[in-house]
Amino acid sequence: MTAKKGWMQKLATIDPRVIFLLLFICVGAPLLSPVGLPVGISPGTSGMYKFIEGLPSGNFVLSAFDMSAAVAPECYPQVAAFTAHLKNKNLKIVEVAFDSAGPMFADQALRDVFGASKDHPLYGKNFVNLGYIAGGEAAMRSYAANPKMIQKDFYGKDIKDLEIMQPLSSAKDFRLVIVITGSQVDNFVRQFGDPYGVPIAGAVTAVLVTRVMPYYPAKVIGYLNGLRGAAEYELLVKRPGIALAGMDAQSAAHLLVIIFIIIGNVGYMVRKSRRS
Amino acid sequence: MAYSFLYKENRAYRIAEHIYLGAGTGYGAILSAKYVYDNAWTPLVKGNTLWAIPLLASLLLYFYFSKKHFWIYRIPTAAIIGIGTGIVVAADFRTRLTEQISATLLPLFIANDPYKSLNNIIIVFGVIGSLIFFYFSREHRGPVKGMVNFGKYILMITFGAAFGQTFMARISLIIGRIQSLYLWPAWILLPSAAVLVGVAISWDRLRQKKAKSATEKK
Amino acid sequence: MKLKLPLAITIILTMLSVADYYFKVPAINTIARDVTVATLVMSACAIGIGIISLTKIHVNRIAKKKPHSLESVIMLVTLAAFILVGAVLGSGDPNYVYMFQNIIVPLDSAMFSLAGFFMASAAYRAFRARSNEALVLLVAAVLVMLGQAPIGEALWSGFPNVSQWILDVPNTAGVRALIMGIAIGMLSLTIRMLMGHEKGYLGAGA
Repeated sequence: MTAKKGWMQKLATIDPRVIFLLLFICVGAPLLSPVGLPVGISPGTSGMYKFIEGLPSGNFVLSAFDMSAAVAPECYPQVAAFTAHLKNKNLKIVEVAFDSAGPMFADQALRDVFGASKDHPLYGKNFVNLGYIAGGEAAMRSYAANPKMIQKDFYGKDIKDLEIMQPLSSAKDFRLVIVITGSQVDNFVRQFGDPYGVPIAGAVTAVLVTRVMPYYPAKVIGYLNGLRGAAEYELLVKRPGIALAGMDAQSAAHLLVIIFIIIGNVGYMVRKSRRS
Repeated sequence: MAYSFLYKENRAYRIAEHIYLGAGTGYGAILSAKYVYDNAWTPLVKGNTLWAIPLLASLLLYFYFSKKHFWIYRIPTAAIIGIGTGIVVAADFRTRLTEQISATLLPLFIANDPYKSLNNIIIVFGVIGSLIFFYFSREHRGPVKGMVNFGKYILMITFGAAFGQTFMARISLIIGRIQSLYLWPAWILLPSAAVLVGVAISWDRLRQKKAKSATEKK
Repeated sequence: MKLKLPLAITIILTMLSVADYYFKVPAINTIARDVTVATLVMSACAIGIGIISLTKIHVNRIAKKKPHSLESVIMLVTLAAFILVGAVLGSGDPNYVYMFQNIIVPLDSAMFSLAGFFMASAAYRAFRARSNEALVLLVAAVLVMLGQAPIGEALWSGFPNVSQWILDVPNTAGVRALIMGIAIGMLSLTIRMLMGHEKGYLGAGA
């Protein structure tokens, strides 16, 4: 009885650094030696994919980057996957950022999918990176009212010289606004969705998914659920990448934490019943 | 360096933190300056003199550092806050209130679809119960108390889902970092970092042992 | 004057923004949009206050030889480097993008990801089903985690459906109630601002 108590006591007061090490191993090991568990497609991802798939060629899509560098490991794989889809559908991509980190990821997405950004022959005709607009939601309101409100793009080219920008007069000219964010989607629904009736798709971090649900599917037609959503989209566009590679590690980490919760609660129940 | 914090708060972590602070601030400053230069300064120089007004108003912001004339800083701040508040509230009334009320008005009984009917009942009474839960002006009694309890459990499920999603998000970030450690030039950096970490931990433990034995001797 | 003028500006511009949203009158809409664009420039210029404050604090720390002065030096050097390189090369330059991708992104995401480790530790040490409500919270969390990872589907094909149902139905109800409450709160805060009762945003002494 005393030995069991000592063992339980040790387990209850384990050094947190042991837990950190276990988590590190659980995440690191599957990345080196993947198991290859199948990844199903969720309704949110499917909704976004089907909507883009149904858009006619030449339609305008706005990629609105409201993400910081902190959420890049989750959001950038999503961006790469859906930008590849937009390219395959021959849609016109306008990239704008409402967070200062956004333009860098917009630039990287163009280089990864098209092979080059500002130096590409189709830059300014089929896609453009407008850079950062300061001001938060006020910037979104201004941009939705007039997409040509800024003078120059991220690389310093005049807006007047960019062929892709000329037909745009308001947010209504976009067939879809894809929001890449780790903070909130509500502001985009407020400034693009409700006033102009533009459908919104969310490439969001997993944290944000619970807050997207009240708007889904009426205002937000589809969403990518963090790294899992990126993996699903990579499967759909047949472009396996780092998101898919990370799914086994995600599974291992989730399983580890669930085991922790169960062990912790079993120990708690046993101690509680002994006391009573 | 950042992950060294998991062992103990140390200088390497603080240096990483300060590099991040300096780099992030510097980068943000450049992007903001570029925005002002392209969209206000360049048109002003080209002859559109109206842009002088916001640029001069922006200079008033720097009275923040004056004790005597601090009140001047309030003028552009009031403009930014006023416009920002108006933009958010006007739209919020529709998006987060009336549209959400409208989305909650769901049919409670759909013939031949008991699953959807049940879901609609949970959503409607869940929203009402959760809203009443936060009404503290009167004691909750009778049927209202039942609704409040239902709302409470709905909120617990919401927070549970939020925890699950939040954990998933953080693990994704860890996966991203570890994936980058497996790429070149991390093949050299990772073993070097492991050796350095091992040396640092051993040295720290040795130091702790020495300090402990010195205290015991006293 | 020192307080009344800023308050008057706030009230007038808030009403202008609201009128722009609800009224389609060209004069109001044009003025509101021009003023909004002007405030975007002012918001961008406000970052200078942060930089000056940050520099003051860290220079003071270095000058008075307080603890962690080395870290302050490193911070100021990094700040200056990013500003100088960005100003000379331009933010769109591939070398500047390289600096961003290899310094800011890894550090930012590493700092954020530390929370994942602490959450795992908290899950083991602190998450206890002490009441029925806590039990419901934990069960929901476990079901969502199982449903969102491929391992859940491998264990039982129903986990993703259960997880999706939790997000679609009870979570939607709870979050909808929360955001409606926030909207009402924002409305009351705005009314307080318009009546001049809320002055905290005007800084010290308001």
